[in-house]
Amino acid sequence: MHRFGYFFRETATALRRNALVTFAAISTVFISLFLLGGALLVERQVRLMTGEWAQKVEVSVFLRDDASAEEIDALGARIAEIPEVQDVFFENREEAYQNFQELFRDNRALVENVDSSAMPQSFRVKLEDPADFPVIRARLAGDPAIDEIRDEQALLKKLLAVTSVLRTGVIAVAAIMLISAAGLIGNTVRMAVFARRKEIAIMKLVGATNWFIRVPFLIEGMVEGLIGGVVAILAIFSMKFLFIDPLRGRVAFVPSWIDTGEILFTVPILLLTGVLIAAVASLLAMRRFLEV
Amino acid sequence: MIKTERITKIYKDSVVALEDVNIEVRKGEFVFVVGPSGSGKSTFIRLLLKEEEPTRGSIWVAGKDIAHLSPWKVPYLRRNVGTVFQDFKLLPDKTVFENVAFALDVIGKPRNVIDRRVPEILALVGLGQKLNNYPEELSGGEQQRVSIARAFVNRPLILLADEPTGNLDPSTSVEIMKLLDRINRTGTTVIMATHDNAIVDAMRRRVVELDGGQVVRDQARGVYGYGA
Repeated sequence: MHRFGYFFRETATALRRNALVTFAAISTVFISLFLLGGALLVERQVRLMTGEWAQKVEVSVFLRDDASAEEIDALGARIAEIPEVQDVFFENREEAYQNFQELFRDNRALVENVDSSAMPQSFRVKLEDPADFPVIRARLAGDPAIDEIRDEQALLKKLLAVTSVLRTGVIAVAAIMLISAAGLIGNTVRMAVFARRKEIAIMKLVGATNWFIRVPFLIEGMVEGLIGGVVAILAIFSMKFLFIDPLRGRVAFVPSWIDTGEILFTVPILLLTGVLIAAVASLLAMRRFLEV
Repeated sequence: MIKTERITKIYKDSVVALEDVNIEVRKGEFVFVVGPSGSGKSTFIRLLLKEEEPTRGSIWVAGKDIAHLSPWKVPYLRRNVGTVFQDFKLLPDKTVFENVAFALDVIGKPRNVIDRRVPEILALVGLGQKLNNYPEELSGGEQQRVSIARAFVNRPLILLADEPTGNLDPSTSVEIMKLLDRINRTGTTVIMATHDNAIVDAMRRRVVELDGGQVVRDQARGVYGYGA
């Protein structure tokens, strides 16, 4: 047990010693992980807005309210016979209402004022190749049971096109900042090694193993990465409370917003990224200094 | 205990520090390695500690060929070899007790062993009353005793001393030699590099003389030099 005590004391001393450089390292980790978390959450937001099912089907064939059961059956058979169709399933009013509730979960007034009878019935069609939408439309044109044929991928594609540019940009910036964060962490570790070079020389002389000598510096670097990650997560939660929560249900074209669940999903990613980058940076920084 | 076979050390700038040196030291021996500055004494000590690699030849320490020892085993070699230097190498911000305890702490000895053994060894070197002093509060001779205590606290098989009296006045040097002699009498092999002729002459132990990197004399119960 006293070995852990030793490592803990050494880490605390080292973090205090280089307060300014440590602060710079931690803030850089924080900013890069904050950006990375933001990029991940933008993607989640897009998925929420388009609905889970929209990613699985390419075409929705909405039915007229007055379509008869025979017409519906006939249409279902017609769709299934089209060679470009991979799969088709029928969505009744009740299922449509469930999807509606999920999609508009932040707009309670709307959900409460609408019941399943207001929902359209539809066929959801999965295509062999999503580009075949015009073929399907041409084949089904004029069917008496059809109210509307919608290309579900169109909206998703537009949104993804816009957000993927945004996301790539943010992730690129986050990556560059993570590299400089690694450099800064490496630097604090190197300074700590330099400050203790006399002790290290004696430790080697009396037979301390290289790992025993390295571990306190490794922990120091990893703690910096961890603190940066924790602060980034706190910042993301603050953004949720300050900006997203007040907007819930107030923006017409955004039926639902990311919530605690989506943010929690990023927590392990951000913490692991921070700690791993810091560990690699610390080990690289020590490699040159701590040879036997 | 220690055996070198034709070890040669040539530094990068082709300076020959040691050339074909064959020395065998049996368990429990006390050996002086003497010679002028640049004769290769310090290089010889560093090779035994594996702080440097020989250019050619083999070195056997405690039954192991250390010229071909994998790096991760080096710390375990050093736990069997205590070292004492001219400049003491004490940590100024640690007390006498902590300096000695440090050597046990960093090789993972448990606290109760440290708390028992450190006062014991410090009493042995005559510093039983100065456990809580800092190195700067001690005389040079006392500091060297702390450094000897640190080298010996883990009961190594071998004690290497590189000019341990180099910074000390003659009477203090005699005290340090008495201490090294006591340690040798516990069965520890002692190898001491020095150019202090008075000490070598007084001790009458085995003397290996190096000059220009070669062994020019190996004499049981010797003195510093024929001419001295």
